[in-house]
Amino acid sequence: MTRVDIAILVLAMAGTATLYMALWQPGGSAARYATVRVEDETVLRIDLRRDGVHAVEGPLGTTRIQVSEGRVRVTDSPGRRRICVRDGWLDRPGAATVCLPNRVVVAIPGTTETELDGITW
Amino acid sequence: MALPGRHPAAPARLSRTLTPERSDLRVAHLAALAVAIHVAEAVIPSPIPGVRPGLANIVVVVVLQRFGAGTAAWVALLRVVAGGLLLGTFLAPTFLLSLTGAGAAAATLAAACRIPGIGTVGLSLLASLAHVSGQFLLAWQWLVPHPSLPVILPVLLTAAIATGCVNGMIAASLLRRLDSDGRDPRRPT
Repeated sequence: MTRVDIAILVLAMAGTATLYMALWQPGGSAARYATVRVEDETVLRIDLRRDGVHAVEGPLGTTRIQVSEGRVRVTDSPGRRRICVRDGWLDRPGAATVCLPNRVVVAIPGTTETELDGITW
Repeated sequence: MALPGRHPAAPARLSRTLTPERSDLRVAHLAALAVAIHVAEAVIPSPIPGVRPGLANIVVVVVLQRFGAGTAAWVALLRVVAGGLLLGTFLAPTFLLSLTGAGAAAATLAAACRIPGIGTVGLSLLASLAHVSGQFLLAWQWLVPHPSLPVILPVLLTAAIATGCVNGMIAASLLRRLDSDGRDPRRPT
């Protein structure tokens, strides 16, 4: 290995370390707010930098939402299986959870809006 | 009207016989080697999706240093196309990812070999990083345009640093052996 090689290696490692720090921050890179929709209508836009609890009314009752440390979760929602409650914390852009019985969708919008999540063959 | 380089009296010919030149044969020979490694490597299961040793790039790096950027680009391109045909991924997303990676790596190699004092390991490392970055950009922009995808990028780059260095060392040791070997492929026969 020449000196230039070692310099390239050091630069590459420093760059990768910087990327780790930038992209692996707790709370995600750009999760700034979450939207809550009830029956496809946005009823709430929650600032994730402010901790607190919120409640929205759906057709079956109240869905409770908690914000803490830049993350958001559903703490209670009517419905037998409570999938959105068990989903836990959402902290990254693009993350979403759905309380289907109560027609509530909690989502952190991504930076790009696309029709497809992914393509595979 | 005579075309430059053609004898005015020569009769117009509708066909031309292509004779492979020595350099063509060399490209084919080296590409075959890279294709064999490419296909053999496809069998190895990977611990993380998207991480591969990239051993076929050893051939490209060695070729770059022995025969120049042109031959290396040919070997890289043929490796991807023939490898895709053999593995049945030709024109599939996997193939396009492979092509993008190899293209980015070849372009980087062509530029990087002008850096004064750069060695085989440095070349291999830069090529490996370019390969992963190119593939990642294509995957992110086209296949999986999810805003969280960059989270995996540092992991892929870490793997790229490791494989780039290891492959570079293998390439360097190969070049040393070739230099001390009497059967030098550059030697005129």
